[in-house]
Amino acid sequence: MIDVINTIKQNLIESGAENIYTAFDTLPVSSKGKFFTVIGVKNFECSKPVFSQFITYIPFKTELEIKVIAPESTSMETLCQYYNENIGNILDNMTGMSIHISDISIKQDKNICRLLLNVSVHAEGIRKINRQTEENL
Amino acid sequence: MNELYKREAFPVTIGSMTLYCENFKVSTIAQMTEQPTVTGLTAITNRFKKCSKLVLSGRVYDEDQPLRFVTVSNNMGNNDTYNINYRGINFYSCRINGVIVEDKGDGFSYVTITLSTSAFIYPTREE
Repeated sequence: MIDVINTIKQNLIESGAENIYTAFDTLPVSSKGKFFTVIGVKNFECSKPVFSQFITYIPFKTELEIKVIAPESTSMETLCQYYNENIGNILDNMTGMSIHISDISIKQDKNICRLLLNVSVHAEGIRKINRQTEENL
Repeated sequence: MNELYKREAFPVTIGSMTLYCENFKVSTIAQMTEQPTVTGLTAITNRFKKCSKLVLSGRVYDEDQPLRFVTVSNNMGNNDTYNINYRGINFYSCRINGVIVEDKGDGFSYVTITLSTSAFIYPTREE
């Protein structure tokens, strides 16, 4: 599960997006930059593994929650534009996982008094694990 | 305390291909010929064991050649036979009757291979 979040975070960073964080870090909001993005997980599901001689393939499905937080006094249009240019395009072109957006919403986060764009992303993929067989040991 | 064990898919080699079977079924039936008797009963006049049918199913993940198992069907028209061992049971002189390779769009190929054999079925001898 953490591998999936880190993979998406790494892809976003390598594609030029800034201030990308996971939901597990404990940095205060004030140190995260003007626009910042937080990646979290709603649910994660693994199915029955598929075996081959040297590799075990584990299919997974996950529902991720990506939140883009805007600086104070930012308009909704500016926030949407930031998302489309810096996050949305990168998610659309991401390889290694099958990704599609299932829900987008914008609301005011009352805790930090900032505009928040919430995206639910459905991702599917396959994780490969090398098997240790008697021949390999 | 009860022991727990992990059940994995078992490899079955057919020619140059190895399928990790998640489902395996073997069925054997007898064919009988019956004739009526003058007393209104029935008499079995002939009886023989039909071929044992094996159905092997499993999923295959191969990024380069996702449908490579379909080439197993090339051997269906000739007299090639295969010896199969599954969980300690030996099935000799098996012939391929059918191959189904299905791509359901979720990244795997679902492979089902049907074989039949008229040979006796032997368990593997413990050494």
